Amino acid sequence: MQNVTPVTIAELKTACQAAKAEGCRLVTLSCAELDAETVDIIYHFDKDLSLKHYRLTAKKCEPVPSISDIYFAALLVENEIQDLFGLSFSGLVVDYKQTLYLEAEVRKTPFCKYSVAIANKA
Amino acid sequence: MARTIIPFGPQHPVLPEPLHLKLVLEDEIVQEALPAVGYVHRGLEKLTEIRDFNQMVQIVERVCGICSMIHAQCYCQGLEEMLGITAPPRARYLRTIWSELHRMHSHLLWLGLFADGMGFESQFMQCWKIRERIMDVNEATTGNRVIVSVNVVGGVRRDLNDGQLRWIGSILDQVEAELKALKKPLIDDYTVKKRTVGKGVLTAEQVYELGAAGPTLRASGVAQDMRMTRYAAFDELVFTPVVETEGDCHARLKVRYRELLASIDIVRAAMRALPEGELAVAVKDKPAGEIVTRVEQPRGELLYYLKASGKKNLDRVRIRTPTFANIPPLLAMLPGVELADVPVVVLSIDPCISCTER
Amino acid sequence: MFFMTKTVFSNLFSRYATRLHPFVVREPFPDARGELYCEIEKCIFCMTCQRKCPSQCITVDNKAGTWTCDPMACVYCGVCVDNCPVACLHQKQTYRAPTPERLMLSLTGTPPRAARLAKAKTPEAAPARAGEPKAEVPPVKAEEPKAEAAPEKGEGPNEEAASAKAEEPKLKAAPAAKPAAKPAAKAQAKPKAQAASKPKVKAKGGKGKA
Ligand code: SF4
Ligand code: SF4
Ligand code: SF4
Repeated sequence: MQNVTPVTIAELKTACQAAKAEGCRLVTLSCAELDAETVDIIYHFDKDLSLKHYRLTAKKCEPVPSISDIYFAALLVENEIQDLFGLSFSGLVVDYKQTLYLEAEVRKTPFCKYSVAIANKA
Repeated sequence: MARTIIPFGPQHPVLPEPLHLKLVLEDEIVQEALPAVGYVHRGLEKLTEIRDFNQMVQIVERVCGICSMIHAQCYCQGLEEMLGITAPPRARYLRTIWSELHRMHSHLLWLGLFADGMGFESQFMQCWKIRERIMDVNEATTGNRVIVSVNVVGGVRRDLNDGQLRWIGSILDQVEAELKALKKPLIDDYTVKKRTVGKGVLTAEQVYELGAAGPTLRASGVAQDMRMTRYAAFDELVFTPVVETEGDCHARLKVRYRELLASIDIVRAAMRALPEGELAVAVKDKPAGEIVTRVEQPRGELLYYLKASGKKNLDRVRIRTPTFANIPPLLAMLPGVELADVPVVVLSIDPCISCTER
Repeated sequence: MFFMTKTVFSNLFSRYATRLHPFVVREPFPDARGELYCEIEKCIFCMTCQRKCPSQCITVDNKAGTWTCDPMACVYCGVCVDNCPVACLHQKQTYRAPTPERLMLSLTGTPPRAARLAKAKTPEAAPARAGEPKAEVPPVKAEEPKAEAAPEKGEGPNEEAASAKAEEPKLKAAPAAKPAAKPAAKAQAKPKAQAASKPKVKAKGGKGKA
């Protein structure tokens, strides 16, 4: 994977705004579990058929700022990550509160080997 | 006027798969739409924890029943890149042939469903009748009709001999003739135009910003097709993306129809240029690293993010399917559309919900 | 939709596009991947098929010499066929017919180790082993009642009984298996409980007194 830039939570929004100003299309976000505490979230952008990626290493317990106000397309995938990894995104345009795929009573997230209790489910 | 909320789906006559839309209406006009998915989430990505990377080829094929070959191709391509091997040229050409055949049968299926969504039943039957020829080609050349299971990491599992190539050529001639006869009743028809022209319009800036993929993107005038990234045999074949500019349902119909004809030409060109040689290279190592790989699926750009650490199971297989990307544009298309046109607009993105949820 | 009229009429007056299915059946394509079957007398119980199968529907027990496949979980991918080192797995060109009952395809053969042991004990039994099964047990056909029919959601005892029953005649039918299937050998074919929904199927062979 080439063209990967690490970003921090603080830089994330400005980086995405800059990408949008450059005319990048948001392809998607990928999430992968690293260890008991952290996950990698990779933001994939496309411009003229070449990809660039921002890698955010986030703590599972801290909310990640949502970029769905910058890129509306991030809405579904951020909700999906909430469901599957038990992360929480702050400032989601539409927050399904972890019921996009899962049922309301589910308390374990399927993709975390170290399961995180879902605290903020309505 | 009074606001009403109408649930659309998950069981709806025009929807082949369960998608639920909450439509907020004012009179007959949609003001807002909110999707609910999750009816067919199967957790296929998770299976990588208990299946090794070779077995995953058959798993990812089952993400989508309509473009199984292309999923496996994308996955194998990614792993090959990670392992530092390249599939032999003949394998890359064969993959191109089969994937274009898949695109054709997928688009024909969609043309039929779209006609059915408008109530044009005879057209539906006609499209599916043509599609049957391609399904037969799939079965005769790969062994299976739908989930063809023809890819392995490192190449392909089946070969095409000269007799089969000639036979495919003759089937393609028939399909082409039948498709050309469909143009008038499908594209130029008065009723079809009435139902589709000016419905669900998105401009090029809108679709691009909303991250649309595939025909939805190209129907609004953005010439972006992953085949332009020259994967498989596209580095040697001539390829130009099919683009329309109106951005409405009729443009999306035209894009798919023209792509069908373009696919026939690609298959023919690939069959003519089919190089001799090996079908697959041996895989000796275990994959390690991170890779992002993209191919063009009938519905648009398909992205795989693979992560491995030298074990026999991959750490993460992340699949971003095109319908997933096309749902935000759909939500932007719906406001302002009459309730009676909602099925047509929804179908125009070619929704494939089980891929969306995996 | 006027442009369609021509096509509609030409379809109306031409042959049917479909077949009258149960009466007219299309010739299967020569390379089609259909129902799986195993020539158990060739099998060397290497377990390759069990390891490679993506749906993990094959269970091989190389001690007891049983080869079990859940044909209802098989996805007809042909990976096992491609990987079998002695090419004893094959696919027919047609699919298995639908059935209201759950099927299990369990076959019993002679694992090479047992054969070697048998050879050491009774030297005349070994050559017989190579020839006999072919003579007495014709190439395995899956339609034969070897595939036992247990009640649909038969889990545990029911199925065990059914599979044991189905195996008995098999053992009798193949006297060559006598030295191989050591009476005490409990053939436990336990498909890994990979999916919660999959009923555990225990096939206890060797119950019939060999
Ligand atoms: S997803 Fe549906 S159509 Fe596809 S194989 Fe499974 S049951 Fe069949
Ligand atoms: S069927 Fe073939 S692959 Fe399977 S155990 Fe027997 S010899 Fe090995
Ligand atoms: S055909 Fe495929 S699914 Fe069926 S037993 Fe063989 S490897 Fe398993």
